[in-house]
Amino acid sequence: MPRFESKSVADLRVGDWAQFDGRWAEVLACATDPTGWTRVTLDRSPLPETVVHRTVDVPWSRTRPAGLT
Amino acid sequence: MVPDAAGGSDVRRPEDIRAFLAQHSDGRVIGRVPAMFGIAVTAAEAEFQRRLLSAGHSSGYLALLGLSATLTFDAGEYFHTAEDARRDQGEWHGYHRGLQTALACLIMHETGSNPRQAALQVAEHTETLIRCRWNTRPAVGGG
Repeated sequence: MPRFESKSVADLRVGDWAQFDGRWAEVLACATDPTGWTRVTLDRSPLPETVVHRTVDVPWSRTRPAGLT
Repeated sequence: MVPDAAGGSDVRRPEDIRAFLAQHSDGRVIGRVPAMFGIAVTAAEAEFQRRLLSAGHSSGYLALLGLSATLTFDAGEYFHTAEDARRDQGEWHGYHRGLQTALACLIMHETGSNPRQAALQVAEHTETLIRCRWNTRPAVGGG
């Protein structure tokens, strides 16, 4: 089982891969408010989806994790 | 059989509805878009709305987009509680996801975009609207 680094959602960048709700997805956009809320747009199927999070750490990979179809 | 009290003569024309909204809600009516949900429309937001309308988006899309931005601001009120947080967060994410999907469907219908283009436009428009509103949003915790 590969282990992945973690990254704060506020530090995610476009092109990163991150795991939310147990699913990996590429980050298409990311914006953090002054209050600490971060909106992350993920390349999910069938539609890209924006999720909103407090600052938490999520599993992160600079490239597409191996084994994903 | 009891006749329908509303009957067929009570259908309001759009101008009547606008007057009704102006008279009975706290929101102002700006152009074709009623400023609902208790949000005062900033100059930046009004300009952004005008740009969306001139780009071919409907007033219905703008109204839903406004609700989506409002819901995003409400996230803190759903998420800060300790005990019921899990259920509340699930509820909130459901509302959020439903609105985002409805907005993407509207864009697909109104502009013929494909699903991916539509969803990305929704994300971009929501982000822009939120930034328009941050200018006048009171700081959390007063000050």
